[in-house]
Amino acid sequence: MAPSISSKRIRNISVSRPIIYGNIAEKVSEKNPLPASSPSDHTHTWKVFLADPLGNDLSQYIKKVVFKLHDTYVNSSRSIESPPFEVHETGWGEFEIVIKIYFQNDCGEKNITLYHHLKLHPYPTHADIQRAGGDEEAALRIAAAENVSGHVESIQYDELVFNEPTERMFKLLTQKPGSLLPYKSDKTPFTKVAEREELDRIDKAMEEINKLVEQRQIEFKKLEEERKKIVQL
Amino acid sequence: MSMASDILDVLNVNKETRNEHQQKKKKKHIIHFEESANKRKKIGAMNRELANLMGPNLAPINITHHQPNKKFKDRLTDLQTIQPSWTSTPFTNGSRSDGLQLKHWVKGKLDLLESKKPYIYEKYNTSLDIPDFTEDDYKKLLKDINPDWSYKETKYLFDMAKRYDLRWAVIIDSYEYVPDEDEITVKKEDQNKVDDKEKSKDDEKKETKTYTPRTVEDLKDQLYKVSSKLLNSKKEDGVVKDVALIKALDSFDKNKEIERKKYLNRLLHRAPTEIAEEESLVIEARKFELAAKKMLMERAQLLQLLDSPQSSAPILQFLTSSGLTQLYNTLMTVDKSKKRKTEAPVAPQLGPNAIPYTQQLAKQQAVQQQAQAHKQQQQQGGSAAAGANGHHGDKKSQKQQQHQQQKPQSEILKLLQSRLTPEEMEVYGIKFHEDKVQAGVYLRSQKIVTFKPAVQSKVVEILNELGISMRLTMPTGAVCGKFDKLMHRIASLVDLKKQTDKIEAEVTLMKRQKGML
Repeated sequence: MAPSISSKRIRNISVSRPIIYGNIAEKVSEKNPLPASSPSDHTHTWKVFLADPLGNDLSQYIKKVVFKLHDTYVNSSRSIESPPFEVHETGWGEFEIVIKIYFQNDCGEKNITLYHHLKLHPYPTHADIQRAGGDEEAALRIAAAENVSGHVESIQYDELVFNEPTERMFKLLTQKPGSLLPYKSDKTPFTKVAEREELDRIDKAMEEINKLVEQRQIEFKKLEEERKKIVQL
Repeated sequence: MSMASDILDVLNVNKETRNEHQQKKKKKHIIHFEESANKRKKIGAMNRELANLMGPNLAPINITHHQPNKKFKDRLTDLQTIQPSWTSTPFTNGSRSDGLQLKHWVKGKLDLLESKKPYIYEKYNTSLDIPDFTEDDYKKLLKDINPDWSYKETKYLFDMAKRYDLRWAVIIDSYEYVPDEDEITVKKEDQNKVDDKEKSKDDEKKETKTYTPRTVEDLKDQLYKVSSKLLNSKKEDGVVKDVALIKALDSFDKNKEIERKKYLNRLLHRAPTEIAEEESLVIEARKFELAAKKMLMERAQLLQLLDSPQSSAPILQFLTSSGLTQLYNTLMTVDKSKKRKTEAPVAPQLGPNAIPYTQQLAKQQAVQQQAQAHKQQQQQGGSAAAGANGHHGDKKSQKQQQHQQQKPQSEILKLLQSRLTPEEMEVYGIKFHEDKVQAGVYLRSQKIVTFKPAVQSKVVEILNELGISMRLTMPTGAVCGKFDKLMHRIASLVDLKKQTDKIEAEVTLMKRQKGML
């Protein structure tokens, strides 16, 4: 029998895996009729999910995902134990969904909690507000008008970081290269380009801040000298 | 009220002292006064005058049953009827020998009193049970106890003892035995032999001289010895109870008694210096005792130590030089197998590049481990042909290693580092940390740095001005790192602003002060 792989942790190492989570919602219409079981006052059908940005299989290292919906739903705690980790439901209101990720047993990691606000109605974006000339209500109308299809998305990119993973976990995580983000893609907004953009933005901000800091420092020094002079008087 | 003050003035009682006296007993009198104040309304005219006459401090008077409705006359007649009458009756005291008849008052009417009870105080007329003897008894038994004592004197002694209930202090005080001439003549003859010259002096004086005045011990001695013999002689009846008494009487030793009293006297009349000296001596004695005890303990311990330890196994085999080396080797292997880090002495690196000793050690170890890793790489041989097989090859070799041996963690790390190119690392999402990171899983967006609420709000404001939101769209490792730095920078900016504001305020304040001057 092969010697058992120890559950010791590999020090000084961390492995990160990207995930996306969120929801997609569609208004109920002729094209999208309400399923028979749901009450008639529901206006939207939506699904909340947890997935890999490249579509890889998450069940490698995720055992199950528990979505905790609003208490008014029957069986508000939905446990999904096999991919795809998603819940299809209907409703009329927005609320916060608690997503708990449980990892495989032999990995020796605790579960992780994420929060996601279910989005059913379109919000005016920054661009919309600018177009409406700063008026939010007008922007809302514009956004609504534009969003004729009734399709609303709210998806978040995030990364799971495993600090000092156990050897087993390490194995699981590195079986396949998972961190590869697409450089450019039409399917998802989460691409390397987007990352680059973010980095650039931060860099710019950093420069500005640095300038301000320098200015302030000069001011500070001047004031210090003044103070000293006055004290000596 | 006025009457009382008049009386007090007549008596020349000072108002101040009166007040003092009153204040001392204030508590009691306050209650009393308040009560009397409450009851004042109920007191009639005559009684009020009476109270005024007597003053504020009412003496406790008659204890009558409170009958408010009855008149005084009726209450008087009641007194006679309620309380019984007393009669003066004659009695005799049984303790007396002369039959004297006296009278005393007894509660109750004459007719009812016919019972003749003994006089109540008769029971206290007790006396001790001191044995009695006749002259014959004396001549037979008791003469030989002490030749110095005559029958008469012994009888006198016993009589005194009986009369004064064996209270020696009283007995010795009133002991005035006058010896007869017969006794003295005997002594006189003895004296003749001793000294002729003293004959010329007064006979009476001689007589008194020969008779030595008795001490308490003498009396006690004689009494106890005689009683003891008498009690012994009465054994015929089966004397059980008196055996203890006889024993007690016999245990009296005159000389010991005298000594005891001497000692007691000396003890009670010690000077304070002597007392202090005695106490210090006692303390020193105790110290010596403790020291002696300690020494004994230490001695015992030493002996224990000096005794060579007993070995459990036969040691003959190790007595030879070869055996000794064998023993040494076994011990060394045991030591090694305990897997302790070999502390080989490391020469300190001095000079311009000097680093602390511990760091040097760590460096050495790292170098050693790398050397070991290289060794193992060489051992792996062909399958580890670097890079040729690509990812999977790497993986396999890694797995092999993991399966084959349990290497220390740093080995894998070093291996990974040397194997994977930076791109591969990024692809796999592996990252190395120099410092220690806390184990566990977390979401990158959840670990964005935050500050105290006051600072945080300002930082967020500045961020918004710059066009960046708190929620990152792509929280990857690089992005988060940069964002962290940015946040810290902004925080320091805010801090700087605070300080400049402070100093500015100070400067303006001082300017104003100095300006005014």
